[in-house]
Amino acid sequence: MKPTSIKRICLLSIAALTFLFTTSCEQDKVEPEMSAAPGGGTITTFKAYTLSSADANDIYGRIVFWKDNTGGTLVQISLYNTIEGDVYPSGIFAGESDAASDTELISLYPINGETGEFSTSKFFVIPDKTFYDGLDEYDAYVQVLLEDDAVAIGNVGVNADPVDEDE
Amino acid sequence: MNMKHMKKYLLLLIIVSSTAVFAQQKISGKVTSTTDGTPIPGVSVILKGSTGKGTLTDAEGKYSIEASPDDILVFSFIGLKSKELTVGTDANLDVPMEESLNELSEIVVTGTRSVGRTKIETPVPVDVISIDEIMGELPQIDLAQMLTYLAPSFNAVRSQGGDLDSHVDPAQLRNMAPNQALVLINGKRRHSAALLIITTAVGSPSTSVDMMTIPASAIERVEILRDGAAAQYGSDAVAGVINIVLKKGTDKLTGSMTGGGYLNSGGDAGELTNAGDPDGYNYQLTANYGLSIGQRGFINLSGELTQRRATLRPFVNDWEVYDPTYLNNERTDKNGNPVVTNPELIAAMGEGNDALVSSLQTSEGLMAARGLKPEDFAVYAGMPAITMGSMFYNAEFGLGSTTTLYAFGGMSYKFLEGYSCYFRRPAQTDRFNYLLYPNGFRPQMNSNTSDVSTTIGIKGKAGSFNMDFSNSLGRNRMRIGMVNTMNASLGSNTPIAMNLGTHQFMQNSTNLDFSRYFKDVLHGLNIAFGAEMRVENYKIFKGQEESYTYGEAGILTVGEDGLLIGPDGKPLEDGSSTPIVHENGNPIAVSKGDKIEIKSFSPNCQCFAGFGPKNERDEFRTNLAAYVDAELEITKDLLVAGAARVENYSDFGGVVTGKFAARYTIAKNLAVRASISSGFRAPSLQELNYTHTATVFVTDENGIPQPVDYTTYPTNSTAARVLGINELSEERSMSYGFGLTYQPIIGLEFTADAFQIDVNDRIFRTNTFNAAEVGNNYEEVIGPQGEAQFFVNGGDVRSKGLELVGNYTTSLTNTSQINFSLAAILMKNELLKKNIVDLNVENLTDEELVEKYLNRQVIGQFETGSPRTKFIGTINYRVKKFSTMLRGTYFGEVTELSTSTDVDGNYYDQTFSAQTVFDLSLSYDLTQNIRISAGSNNIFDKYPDMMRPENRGFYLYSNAQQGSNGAYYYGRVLFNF
Repeated sequence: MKPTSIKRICLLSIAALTFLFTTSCEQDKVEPEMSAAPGGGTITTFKAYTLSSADANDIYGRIVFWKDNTGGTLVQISLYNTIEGDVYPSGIFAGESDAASDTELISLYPINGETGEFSTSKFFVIPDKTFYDGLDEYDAYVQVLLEDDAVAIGNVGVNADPVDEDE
Repeated sequence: MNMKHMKKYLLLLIIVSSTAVFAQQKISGKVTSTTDGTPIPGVSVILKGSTGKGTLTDAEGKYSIEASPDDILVFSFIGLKSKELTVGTDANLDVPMEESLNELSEIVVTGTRSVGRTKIETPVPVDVISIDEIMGELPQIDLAQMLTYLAPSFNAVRSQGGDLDSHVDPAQLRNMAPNQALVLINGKRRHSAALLIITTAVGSPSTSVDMMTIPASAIERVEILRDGAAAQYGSDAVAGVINIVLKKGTDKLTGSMTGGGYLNSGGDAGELTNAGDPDGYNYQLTANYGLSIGQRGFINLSGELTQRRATLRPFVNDWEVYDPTYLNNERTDKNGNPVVTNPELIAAMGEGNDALVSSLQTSEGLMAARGLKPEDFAVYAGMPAITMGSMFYNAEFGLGSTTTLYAFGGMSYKFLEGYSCYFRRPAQTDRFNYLLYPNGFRPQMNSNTSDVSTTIGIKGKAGSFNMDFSNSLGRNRMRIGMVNTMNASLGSNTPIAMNLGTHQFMQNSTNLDFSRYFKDVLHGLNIAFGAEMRVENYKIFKGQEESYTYGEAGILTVGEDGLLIGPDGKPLEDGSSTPIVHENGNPIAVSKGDKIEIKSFSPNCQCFAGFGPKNERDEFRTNLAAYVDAELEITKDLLVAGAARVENYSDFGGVVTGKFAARYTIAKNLAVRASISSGFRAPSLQELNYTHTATVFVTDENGIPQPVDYTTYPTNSTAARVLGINELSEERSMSYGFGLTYQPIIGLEFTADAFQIDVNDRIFRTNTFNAAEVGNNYEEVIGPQGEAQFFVNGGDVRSKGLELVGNYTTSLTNTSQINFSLAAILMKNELLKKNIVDLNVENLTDEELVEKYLNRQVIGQFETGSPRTKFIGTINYRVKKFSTMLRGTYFGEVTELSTSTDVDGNYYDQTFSAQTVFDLSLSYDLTQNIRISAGSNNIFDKYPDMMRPENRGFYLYSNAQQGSNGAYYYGRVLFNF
């Protein structure tokens, strides 16, 4: 091979390498869309309290306070024996259930008789980040009503031990 | 297609030299015919060893050129015997040129073991495609796609994705299956790819040679024998033979750099797709260099580096993205703990923003809050991303006066990542994990393929016989992987990238061939005989365990006796948030230690189960064959050829095949040819042994695809035995061909060939059988939810058609040349008979069973699923340093048959209209050594018809014609030293 040819081959090799480096061997990746607000995922910290029947209809169940991943509290009520078509207002009231205070601390969503759960959403949201950690000292009871009469009632916080909990 | 003329004027362009030229003088003269002394216009006159120096003779046959006395001038023109003359001292050099049929086309080596014949002298049709000469002007950068646009009988569907469909393109002849065509390199059998191509091959799953592993830059020409040749070459040569002839050139470095990309206009899909910036950028670097080994041999090396970026042609659909359980945070884990899927909603409720709350309770509202659009949840289809490198060598070395040692082969590595799966929407609760993929995921399959091959042989004389002894070893190994995936049943512990297993196919062929030409027997007799031994091995290696297992993320182990309730005291809920209750509606009583499936999460890797221990295979077979082959010229005008071959396979026994062909010259420029042959195709080891469970999506009553698991069982499995499915046997074929070749004038040639190929016991894949349909306790074999399918020798089929090739070259002025070529295939595939066997099925009517065995979708795919008509018209025009190529390719209509119907029982069939696409390229010689070329494939950006709405699933457009990539533009620099 002639020296001029070798020179050309060298130049060509340089051009080829430049070509390769500029194009790069990396292939584009299709990445999953991870966009979502913080706080999603499984939540496992909760305290559940019993709601007992307050009349002859034997409506009973639980109220669960879940500490969500942002530190807020999600309240869930699940009842048995509610009647389809009926709507049951519910709320958290001050003091022990025996005292039957009318002071409503938090008005919860009404309960759908068909499902025994909140009609608006599965959870009622308490955004206060200190609520859950103060729950053990919370002096309150929960009342589920039909019209103005209590159908299920139960102490929470300082007034009762949870029926189930997970820290 | 005759490429000889192109060779000549390309040579004119690509002359190789770096030497200085001294003592130049003007040489002129006249070129005339020796037959009648008439001047010949358009003859190319080039200066051998110099670059870019050349001219054409004018209308009076005259030329003039600058040259020095030591230079050699090469005179060539189609239909004339080329001449090389040293210039000498005389300024006038007249050249008489002789007509020669041999110069009309190249010497063909495929389908004959005799001394070379040209393609118009062979008794069967052979296309010769000089890849070496034309690849610089082609928009396509891989062999299979080049041949698709050059040879009407050849087709290679480039799938837009779907499992592994885009990982190997099926190389097909005459609309028959890829494994019904035999691929040779330098006349030796090429090994197939390990992968069994499932949906894009004609008729049924099939293996194919992966043409992409053979660098086009290593190829001198491709000969396509369009006739059955099993009697000459053995199994697979049913539709024809593709023989790839490697380059032998020496002391010349040629190469190219190509860059290109797709326009990505989206066609007519509007909002159904998401057209964007140009995509699918391709880069390719090729080089070829030949070295002489003294005077006795050569070694020719070729290398290619290619990177193809993916094209993206999404199908933006209206399938439910977030369902109510997702939007309202109603999902739970197996313990009843809430899974917050819509934290945006909780934040809005906390703020008391009622308007935002109601917006976030809709799919559209949540997507907007997350900055997502419907196209983020689209089904992705398009060309896969490919990074590959390959190197081939071809070498010969003379050991003595008559003995030559030869070797050729190569290695290729291919990384490919394709669009494989439907988007996994968050609404699909059985394959969802918030932590890993809050907005769903799009699994993609990738493969790493290594392909190695080598042939070593010796050619020489054994007494008065020519002898050729060789061994060819080839191996294709494909490691299959998946990314952006998960095994939902493993919960958050699942890997998100998995090794699904490795497939490997190895083939070793040992050949011993003898031939002798008896010139005194009538007008010449060639006798050849020989033997072949072939060993094949197919392996499936399992992938990682997580890719094929069923984990316990959805299974609860009960901690203490009691009721199956969650923290809220209510029954635990299954995957679709339905309470798991006793039939009286109360919670279920459970005992400590019970294992209960709460959430039925999908097992295996999404969307393609890994190959597990039960799929592992290591299967061998051996094959012995002997043949005798004779060609006799009874008179100067009549050639007859015959061959017989006996084969024995270790797995299914023996086969005898035969062939008879004849060619008769009616006039000097007109000949007729005919052939009849029997052939066969042994079922591939892949067809015999492949087993896999695939998730198939079946459209539900709401038009949303729902997953169902289909398992392909080998015919030697229990599932096949219990059902009464027979073991696979070979396909047997009869081929008939009749044609003529005609050259009315120098520069114009024409061939027409009609064919019919009958294949008995063609292998198809059945529809699926489930336990309820089969009865007989079949669930014990395939499981209660299983769907089983099998390969069967399903039917007798016929392919018939007509192939036409015409080619005309002439000079327009004394500095320009024009070539027209037109090639066409018109053909029909037909299922003649279904070979139904009596299956042990209790709960299907005879009619339903026949439809199961060979359903209308499979029949439709075979009969009308690829274009039955294809025309390719090309015009090449060359003037001075500039040349151009315009090509039109017509793909005939395609009809796909469906097994789904509307409420009135009308099938969702669809006929896709015929398509014509145009390619254009322009080339210019920049300097003596550098040529530039630019152009386009599908220059008018033509997209095929869209699928009818009911059939839109993975694809928005049909794959079968030009595909849905749209216009492709490229630029290329070619160099030559």
